[in-house]
Amino acid sequence: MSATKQISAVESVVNDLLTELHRKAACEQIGVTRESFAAILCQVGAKHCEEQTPEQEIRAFFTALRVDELALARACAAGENAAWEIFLTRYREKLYQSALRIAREDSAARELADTLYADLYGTNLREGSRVSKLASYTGRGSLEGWLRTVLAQEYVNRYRRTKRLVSLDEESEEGVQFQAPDPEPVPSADSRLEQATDEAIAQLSAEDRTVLSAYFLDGRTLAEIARMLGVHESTISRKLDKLAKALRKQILAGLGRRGMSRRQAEEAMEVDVRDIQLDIRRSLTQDSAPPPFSEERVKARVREGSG
Amino acid sequence: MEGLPQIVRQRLQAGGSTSAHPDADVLTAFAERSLSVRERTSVMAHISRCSDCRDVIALALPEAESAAVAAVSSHGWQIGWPVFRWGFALAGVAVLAIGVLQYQQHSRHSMVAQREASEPMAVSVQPAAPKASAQQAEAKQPQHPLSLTKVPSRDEGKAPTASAPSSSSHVSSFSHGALPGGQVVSGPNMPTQWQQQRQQQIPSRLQALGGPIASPGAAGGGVARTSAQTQVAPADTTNSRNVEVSGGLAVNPAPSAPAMFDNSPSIGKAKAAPIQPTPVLTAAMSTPRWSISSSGGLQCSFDQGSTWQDVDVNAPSFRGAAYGYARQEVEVGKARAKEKSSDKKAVQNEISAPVFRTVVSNGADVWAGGTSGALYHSQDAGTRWDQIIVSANGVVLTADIVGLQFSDSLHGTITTSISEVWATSDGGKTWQKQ
Repeated sequence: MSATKQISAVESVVNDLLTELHRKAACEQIGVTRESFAAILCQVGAKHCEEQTPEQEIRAFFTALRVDELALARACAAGENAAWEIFLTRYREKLYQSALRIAREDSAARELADTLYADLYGTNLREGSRVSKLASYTGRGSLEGWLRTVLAQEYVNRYRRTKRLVSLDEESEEGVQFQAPDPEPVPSADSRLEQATDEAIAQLSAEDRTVLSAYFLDGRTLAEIARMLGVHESTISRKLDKLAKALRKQILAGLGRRGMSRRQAEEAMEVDVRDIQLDIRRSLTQDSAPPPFSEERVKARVREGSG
Repeated sequence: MEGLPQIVRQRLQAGGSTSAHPDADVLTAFAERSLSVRERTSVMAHISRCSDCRDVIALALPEAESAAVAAVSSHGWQIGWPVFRWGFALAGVAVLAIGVLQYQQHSRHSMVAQREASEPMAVSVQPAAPKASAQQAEAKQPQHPLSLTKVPSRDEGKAPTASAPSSSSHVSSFSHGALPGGQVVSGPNMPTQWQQQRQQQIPSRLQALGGPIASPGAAGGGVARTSAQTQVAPADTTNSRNVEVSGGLAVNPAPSAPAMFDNSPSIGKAKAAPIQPTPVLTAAMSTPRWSISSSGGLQCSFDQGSTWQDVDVNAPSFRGAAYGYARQEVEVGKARAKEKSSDKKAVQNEISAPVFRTVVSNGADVWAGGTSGALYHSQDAGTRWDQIIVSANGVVLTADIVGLQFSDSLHGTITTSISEVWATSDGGKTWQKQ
């Protein structure tokens, strides 16, 4: 019941803003009628807005939406030739460039971009009609940014495993292979260390944890992290320094609380690095990766949209 | 950079994400900083544990702006650079002009000093110079007769016929060679009291010397004219003896006046010269169009949208760096920002260029709003920007600004990503949350 109420709230806002948004989206040239545009907006709004979303927020959501790009993407998905022409003029070159930057190698980039084109054009047939990936674009971010994100997802899905294997191969060429091949993991000398570490990590804010992981686990540069989070590079640098110091201190304190002397605690923290490296290698080679970005969800959304 | 204990890396790695990946849409909006605070928090929670999504965001970063944030600030420099260059050039010209004039001044002084090597009284007047207000002038009056009497006496002692020609030729060599046999009248830009006083005193003193002189009116007129222009006196009325007199005057009231006033008009001129091109620029740029780029940068166009320039609101001044006050304004704004929100986030946002979401302009009045309550206002079509901290009753606007409406330069409203509406009716000085 409340769900229907919410949908009607979205609808009323859409009706209210339709004229303005329709004009802003320049729909006429790409063959999106007022009615179909209203349907698109309702669908996007219903997906975003929850039951208790106040009307003001719904209004702000629609105002902030990139309606022109949304209309273009949906017109492409619907197979409008005029829209496709605009789309290709605007994004074709950029798409290949982005693919090249992501894959860093020409043939892989081409393959990546071609795959995406196929998805965008909609080679998958469902009930006789093409399903374009563009139908899942909702105008939250820029269309160009969305295309890059989709490319990156595709790349991570398809090439990640290969990349990992390559990097491990490279690593072994560099002489790490002299380690004993994957011995039974030394159970962490002291479970207290793990507990204290987990405790300290749990206190991190999501952003701090993101910064730490991106830098120390993913090997991102300061500049990359800064751009990911939209802050200045020096901020990231300072933050990392501060976090590393604070974590060390907190773990030491945690170990102290668990009955270790200061010296013991410091020794425990500098546990033999190789043990842990092996641990990481195992976890990297394990198939523990989260499920890939699923085509299923895209389809589900499209179904939702057309339904 | 402080290393991270291995155990920390291990445990960070261990806590993988369990929640579903955000949509490409949401990740894009996250990277472009256009999510509401609530959504951003939940995405951040996910990517803090999901290396795949971190990778996706990192890989999908836009091109060209390697070190985007740094580039944003360097954009400001790129825009500012030509302006700076002009500023430097003009500052150089000004310094040169002052230098030349001071050299002139100095050489004249030294010339005079040569002539009156042991003349302490003239020096005693010098402190009077800077603020030649009426009171000061009056206060000095008792001294003037002294110095004036001394000077002529020196002239007398030095046999005017001999020294006059030499000094006038000497001076004219420094007077831009403007006039053949040009003579320098040295006491230029005096307050009228001084002139009157001098005109009254000169004749009597000179007459006491028995020297032939031009009429006081002519001498005064000569002085007045030269003060307005350079120090070259018209060579019409005066004879060499007259020059000698005015040269003497240069030592008396002149040490006060010329030292100061000789320079001030020259500074004024040097300053006036750099500023002159600016109105032309301003006229050409008077009606820019404003836009927000896809990465949230503020852009403006002076050619009706054909080309767009990035605008750095934190730059000292977008196209008026020659005006020193622009930086002050910005710094005042920054200081205010620091005072008002000392929390880390605000400081971060201040360091990085703000990511803009919306911009409105009404003539020269431009408002730009963006993430984390960033609001900038320019009253002169983008030359200077003030950051506005929006707050009411101690509550500070920290959400993203997604909408701006200004019906005139005073009345406007802000819509935020969390659907707050803030209104002002005094051009942004005070705000009411609705």
